[in-house]
Amino acid sequence: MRRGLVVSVCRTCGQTLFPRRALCPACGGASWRLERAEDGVVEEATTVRHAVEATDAPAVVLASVRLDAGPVIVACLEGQAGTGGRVELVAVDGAPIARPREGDSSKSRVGRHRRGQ
Amino acid sequence: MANAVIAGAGEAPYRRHSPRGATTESLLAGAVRRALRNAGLQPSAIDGLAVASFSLAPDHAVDLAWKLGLRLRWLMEETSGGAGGINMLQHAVRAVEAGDATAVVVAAGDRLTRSQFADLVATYNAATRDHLAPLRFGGPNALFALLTQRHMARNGLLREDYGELVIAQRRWAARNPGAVYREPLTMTDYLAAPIVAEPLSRYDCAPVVAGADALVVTAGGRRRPVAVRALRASYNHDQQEGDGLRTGLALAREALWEEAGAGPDDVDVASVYDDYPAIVLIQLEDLGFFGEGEAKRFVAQTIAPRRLPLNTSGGQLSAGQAGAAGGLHGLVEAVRQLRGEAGERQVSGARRALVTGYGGVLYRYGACANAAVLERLR
Repeated sequence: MRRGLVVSVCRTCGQTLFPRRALCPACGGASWRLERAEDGVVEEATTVRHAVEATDAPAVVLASVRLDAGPVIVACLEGQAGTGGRVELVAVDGAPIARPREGDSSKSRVGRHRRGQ
Repeated sequence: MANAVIAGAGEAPYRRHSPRGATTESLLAGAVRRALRNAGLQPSAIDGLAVASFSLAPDHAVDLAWKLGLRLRWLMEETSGGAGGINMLQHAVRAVEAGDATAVVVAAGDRLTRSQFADLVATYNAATRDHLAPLRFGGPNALFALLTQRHMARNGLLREDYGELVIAQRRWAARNPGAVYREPLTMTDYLAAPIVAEPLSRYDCAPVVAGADALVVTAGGRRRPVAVRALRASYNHDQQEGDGLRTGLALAREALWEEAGAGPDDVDVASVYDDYPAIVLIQLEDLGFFGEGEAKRFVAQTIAPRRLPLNTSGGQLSAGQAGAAGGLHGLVEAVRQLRGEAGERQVSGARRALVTGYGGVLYRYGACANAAVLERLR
């Protein structure tokens, strides 16, 4: 498990994308900087009560999360975070898990771009 | 340039559980035989084949030609899901017009076991395999649950509004012996149904069935021909960077109606791709059937009283979704209506039909959208 979800930033125009693309849809560029997006806001959430592959595992809560970095992603939501709630992202094998941001307040706005790697 | 027309249509009966021994290939063969009989053609007259199927693998289009005994000079295989039927029609019409073929069979169908379907949704594309399947996302229903929440919030809709659409389609299905789900549905039944993923219940998700559909496109002539007056498509219109509440049909609308020499008010019967009720309303709005913020009114005044004959087979929501056949199902129903062959559900005097396709979910929603305006020639 790693903090943040790897997003692609176009080195030419700065467009931030997830999932990755081969060419930038904005400028056609093919050179990317990978960054870790760690924060976002829940836009919608739903509990998947009936999955295609029936299992005994507990129901998954899926959410649309708008990353501070720009893209809207689909993440697994853990803990209590409703629509509009701020979440932090961790990635498990590339799959994003969103969890309520601890001690977050509306004042602590996170920068649009996080450090590169 | 030859004049291409749709000369016939057929469907292998949809079944919740396909008969023992039935295969994807036998279902496709059944639909092709029915379409040829409907067109009054022998297999030997066919020189083109297009096919879409998720469960034909490891076979491909030429394998199907071999198994059907067809000698061809034109061949295609289609993979864009719910937009596949209209995409194949577009190519078939152009092939016949250009003289590359004189009689093309367009077919789509699937028989998916539970585990095949689970594999299909988990590996639909690389983005799904890498970023959604590890979440145990449960298939596209969950993605469209999120989309439907956005649609409700944007348009001030309640579950009852989608219920009106679902119930109206079920009333059509009652008159279609080919629909899998035909028993009457009340609003009480609809609202009490088990939730799949909020706000979607069982009745909001096209049920998986086995079946196949086929059309025949020929150069002119034939009995009761149907013309393709206009056909427009849009793929990856927003790079998956939007909210899914607009499809590429919004970009295609103007050219579609202009080419058809008609508008929404001139449509006698409509087959609008219906994997989920919200998708039907989004496409109708994109094509100009109602304006922004008018979805609720349109449902109440036009869809619920069935003023617009919409998805008269019952649509996929009641007839069932036979995999890739879902993209051809609406075309087959429209052709039957225009040829006056829709039995107890026949729309009297139907002359012009709108058919749409939607699909190719890349990550959060469908990226493929297309539409055709069909017209009975005589």
